[in-house]
Amino acid sequence: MINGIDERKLLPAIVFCFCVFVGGCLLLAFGCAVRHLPNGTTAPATTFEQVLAWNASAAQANDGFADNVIGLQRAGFLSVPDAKTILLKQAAIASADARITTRITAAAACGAQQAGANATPAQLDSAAAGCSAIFAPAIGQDIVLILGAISDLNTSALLAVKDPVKKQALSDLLATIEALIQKISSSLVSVGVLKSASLVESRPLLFAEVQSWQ
Amino acid sequence: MAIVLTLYKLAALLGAVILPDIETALKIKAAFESLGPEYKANVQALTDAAQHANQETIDKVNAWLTANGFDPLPPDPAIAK
Repeated sequence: MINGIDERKLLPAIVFCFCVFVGGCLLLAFGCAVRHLPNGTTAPATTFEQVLAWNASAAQANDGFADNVIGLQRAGFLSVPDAKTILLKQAAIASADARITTRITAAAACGAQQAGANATPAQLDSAAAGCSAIFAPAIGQDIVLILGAISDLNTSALLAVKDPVKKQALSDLLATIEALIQKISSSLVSVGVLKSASLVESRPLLFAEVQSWQ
Repeated sequence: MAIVLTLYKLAALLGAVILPDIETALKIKAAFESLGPEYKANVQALTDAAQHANQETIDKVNAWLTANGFDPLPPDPAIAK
């Protein structure tokens, strides 16, 4: 003991605080994709690179969410049927995101081929947007599917998590995924891939809003 | 140090099972910082990162379902392997 502090707890305490701090900072920084040029400067990413970066982040956050749900079930904070309900939604989100990824990637590759090696970012975006026209309805449907699954989780499935702190933490993670999907949606609208944001901007309810009704 | 320990004790009291997934956050950071000058390489790297995470999610849900006596998810034909 040093000044009343147990040395055995000091390292894990510092590690814990560092992890929370760094995790918070990094989650706040998920919006800034840049291209690092050979001369040491940076340039803005194209819309499709940015969309794919948000998409990768959403997939990884969803993966982390599933880890937490499985951990909560194993620790006894969630029953097996309730965990199953949540995990099936996570798998549906992962499948929808995988389909979106395949389609956006195909459009980006097609755009690169059409625009040529010396294309500007604007030309790449324009060509990729043209290539993705055929995928637009399916991409829109999968975005709606993901936002619907998040809404279902917030309005019903997460209510099974009895501990309010853990429930709120899960809801916050869902809000991160939702924000990323909304950014993808808005970007695809801005380059003309999705014709209207109206289908995908019906924001799912957050747990706190549901709780306020009860 | 006192503040650090207080936060740690508070977290311990709350049963801090759920932290922001630090590994996830680090992966997110990597996905953004690894954007190089080459468009096709960036697209492929970001695609691989997303598909790896999505497949990992589906695999762990399937493993959990099987371990708890449920059938695994049917494969999605629309997902390119």
